[in-house]
Amino acid sequence: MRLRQPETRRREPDLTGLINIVFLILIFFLVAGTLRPFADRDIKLAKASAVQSGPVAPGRLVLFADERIAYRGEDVSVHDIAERLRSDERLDKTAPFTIVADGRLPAHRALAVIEAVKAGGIRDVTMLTERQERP
Amino acid sequence: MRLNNQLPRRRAIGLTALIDVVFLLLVFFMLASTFLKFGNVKIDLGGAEPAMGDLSKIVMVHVGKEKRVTVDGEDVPTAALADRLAHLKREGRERVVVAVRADAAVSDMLGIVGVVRRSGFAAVQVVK
Repeated sequence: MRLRQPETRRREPDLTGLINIVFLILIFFLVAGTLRPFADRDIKLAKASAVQSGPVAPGRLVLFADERIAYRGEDVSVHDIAERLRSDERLDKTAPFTIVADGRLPAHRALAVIEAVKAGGIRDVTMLTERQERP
Repeated sequence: MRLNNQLPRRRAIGLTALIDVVFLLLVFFMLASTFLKFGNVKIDLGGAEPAMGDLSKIVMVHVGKEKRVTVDGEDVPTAALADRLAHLKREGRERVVVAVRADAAVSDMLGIVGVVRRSGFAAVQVVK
């Protein structure tokens, strides 16, 4: 017996609706979000009602909660920071330097890093915070 | 005479490549963007300028664990810190030294330094 196979010509799905929605979501993220000034997602910033707000310089020095330190994505130790900054020609030493530190880190560790950054020839050191609205 | 005025049939534009790119952009912006508001707190260390001048014009703020604060040795609730500093400023104090205790975390330090900076003192120094 020969069964007639139904013709299964696949139609192309209509993608216009999908594209509309995807464009909409894309534009939402473009408009409503801002790019994060650092790449590490496991950093929990300190909350502070900062005086300075507005555009934030990208943070190149990141202090993790487990006391690891990364400069431009590479692990460094506290003792190497000054030398690394001094030899970094791409770095503008007169511009404010932003440190991204996890809020749970002991403050004395962060202060030791700031001392090292100052020894590396940088005058203005700021620390990135999550801005808190005034109560 | 018969003119051949039949228009060529329009082909549908291939949208697959467009969708690929748009999806890629969407995923990038979803991962790289954030809805947090960021701020900066400037940190000046104690050694930046010589600790000279009138010592009576300095306000000494100690920060410990969980934002426990003392101003000139007196316990002050964190919520009352801004008022206390404003009061001291009216009395003619000019500089604040924030001493960070060993048990304080970065969030304690930055929270308090943020409040102190906003109170309008010309010089705020952070020491260990």
